[in-house]
Amino acid sequence: MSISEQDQPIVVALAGNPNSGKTTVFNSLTGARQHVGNYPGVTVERKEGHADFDGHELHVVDLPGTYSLTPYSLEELVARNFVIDERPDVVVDVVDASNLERNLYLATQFIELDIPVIIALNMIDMAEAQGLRIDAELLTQLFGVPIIPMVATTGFGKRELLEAMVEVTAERTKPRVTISFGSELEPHIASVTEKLDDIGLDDQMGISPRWLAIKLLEDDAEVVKDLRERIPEAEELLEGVARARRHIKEILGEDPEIAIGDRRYGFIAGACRRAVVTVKRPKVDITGLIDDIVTNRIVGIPIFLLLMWLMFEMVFTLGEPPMGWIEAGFEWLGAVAAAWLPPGELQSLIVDGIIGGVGGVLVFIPNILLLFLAIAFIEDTGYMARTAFVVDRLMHYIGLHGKSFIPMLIGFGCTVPAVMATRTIDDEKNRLTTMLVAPLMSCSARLPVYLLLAGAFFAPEIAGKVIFGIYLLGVLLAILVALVLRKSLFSGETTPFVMELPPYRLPTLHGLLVHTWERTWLYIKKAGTIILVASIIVWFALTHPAPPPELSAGDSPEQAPVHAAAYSYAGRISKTLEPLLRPLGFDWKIGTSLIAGFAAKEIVVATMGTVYSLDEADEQDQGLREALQSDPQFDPLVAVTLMVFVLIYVPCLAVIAVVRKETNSWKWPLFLIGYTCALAWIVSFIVYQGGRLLGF
Amino acid sequence: MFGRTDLPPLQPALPLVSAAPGRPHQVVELTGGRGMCRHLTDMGFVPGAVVTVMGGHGGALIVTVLDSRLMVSRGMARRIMVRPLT
Repeated sequence: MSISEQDQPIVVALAGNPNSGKTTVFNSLTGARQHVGNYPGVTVERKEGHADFDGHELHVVDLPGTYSLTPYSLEELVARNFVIDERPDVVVDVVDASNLERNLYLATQFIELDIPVIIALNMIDMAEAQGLRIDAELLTQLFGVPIIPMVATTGFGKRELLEAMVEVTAERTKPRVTISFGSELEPHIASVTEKLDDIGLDDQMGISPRWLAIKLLEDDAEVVKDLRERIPEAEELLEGVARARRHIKEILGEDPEIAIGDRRYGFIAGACRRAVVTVKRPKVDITGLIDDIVTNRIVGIPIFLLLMWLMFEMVFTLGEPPMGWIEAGFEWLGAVAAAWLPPGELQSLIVDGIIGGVGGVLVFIPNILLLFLAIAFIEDTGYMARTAFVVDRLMHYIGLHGKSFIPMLIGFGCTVPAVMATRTIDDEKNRLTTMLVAPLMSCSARLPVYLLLAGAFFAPEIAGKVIFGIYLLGVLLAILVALVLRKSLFSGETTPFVMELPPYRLPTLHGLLVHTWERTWLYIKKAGTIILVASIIVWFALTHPAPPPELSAGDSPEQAPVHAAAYSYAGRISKTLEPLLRPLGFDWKIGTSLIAGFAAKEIVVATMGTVYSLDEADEQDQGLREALQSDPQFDPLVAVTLMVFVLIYVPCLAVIAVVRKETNSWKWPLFLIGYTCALAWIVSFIVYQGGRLLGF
Repeated sequence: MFGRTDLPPLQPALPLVSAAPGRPHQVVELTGGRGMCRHLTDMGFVPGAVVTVMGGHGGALIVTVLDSRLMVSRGMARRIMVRPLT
């Protein structure tokens, strides 16, 4: 390898079917040196990381899972476009060795593409446990590309994989085998390839003309579109392709795309017959057994609800003690800062603005961590995919199907990846409906608000149930809104779908910790950036302008902060909104918090931290919870109403931005803001006024 | 004169949605739009493949094909024509 090449990092694309263990391979290769995309959650956006090996620098890109290079969903399109357009130095196709024939289907398409490719035969231990013996050397010969057996969770085979990446990149090794499509198809592939060669398209696009020919015969919409944009002779060429397709259908009696797929499976089956031996069949099918129970028609839904219930109980009860310690820590920090800094603007900014605001949000790290741990567990075991099946029948009543449920479940963690995960839904109306109701699934940023309010106004054994009730309300509202949307704006039939249910696996501790930490770290980072800035802005809006001395002259120490806040910008805005807030039992302090919460839900807590910190006339530091309890404005009903309002109204700016990006218009994000605010007000009104009528 | 009476008669093809659970069937034909047929092929439902319905009650079906379990919506299962293997 020359020196100039060494300067450039080797770009490696990790491709593979969903559930092939691709992300585990990625984590194993890049370790801690990865740049997680903007948002936590499933790999929908590409994830990038670095690895150093033997003096070479590798730049690894983890692509979304895909079954085919002819995309069926938006998510698959992302993966394919990266490989075709950005030309990585080498593609590593991660293959689940225990499910070889299905996983190698994608590999055959990389071979057709005639680019440097390596097959990582992941989970080889699992395959052996199932009684499969795979002759990797023979398989390498048959496929004409390096095939490396590995176990990503233990690091077995990692070195060999890295060596292969460096070697394939240095030698620009292309597959040494051409997959034959048989005597009926080959002449047509050859003639289209020839025409493409004549045009000289391969020079222009740098793509194997044979691959283009196969894709054209498969009627791949992307390739057809690309061709029309690039060359003037496209129509003539496509006419020839259409004739060839008709001819194939006549002689084979099936569509060319099915015939081509059939030949690929044939090639794989032939290779596997030679290179794979089944030594013994496993006695029990564990996945089948678990599925019989958790997808059972009678107990399936109760089991799901029980698991959700356990999750929230755990988040609340286990999170409580460490939360108390962190809270005490910040109270101490506030007292120290107040003692050290001279009274004035700076002390107020640091103690009330920053420690009160950011500290109020960081207190909830233990709960957030536990929530993400639970979600990672559900995801890594394979149960998450089952929930789609369990609720499918119910989802049909609201005009969606089970697949829409997974983004909604991810929404319990964070709405942003939930919106992005709707890309796996291939029907546009279903996708939009799911995207617009996903924010009603209560995300982790809203949890601190519930924890604060429920913790302050309900006994610990009831608080968990109140919070579960809020989550349940979110789900019910999501169902209701979806029903209305499917009956009005997005009416029509649901499109049929197929979805893989991965085998159940015991998650590795390392994998769980990586997933949990990645997401928790983003929460902490958010507290240090956007919430810090928001806290400072909120503090400023609450303390400026200061009331002129002649106004506050006769104030007692208790009255002064109240008057000052009412005189401030925030106070004036909230005063204007008071007619809207009063029927919900909210005062200007809550109003200010809700306005600030437009940016992100944790800011509701941060703002309350600042408001109540400023409000402490006696300068004796007390926790935010006690401060709320001693506020006459608050009682349990107001607390519940506020939780309901926070659950429903505008998720956060990041969600608005991602909905704008995903729908490519301002129409739907604006619709989302409008309907969530209206719904929040109406439901809160019913809860508050109804509660008062019932005597709460 | 070609009537081989020792062989069972060829069973008629039926949609996967009506296939008897627990019994292996063979995919005969895919009906439906072009994109959908290709997607089904990519997912392993190629003519000749063996599928077995493992579960499903009113909603989607769980089937095994190519050594893995798939969830297939009823609408999709109506487009996959199968024949029981004897």
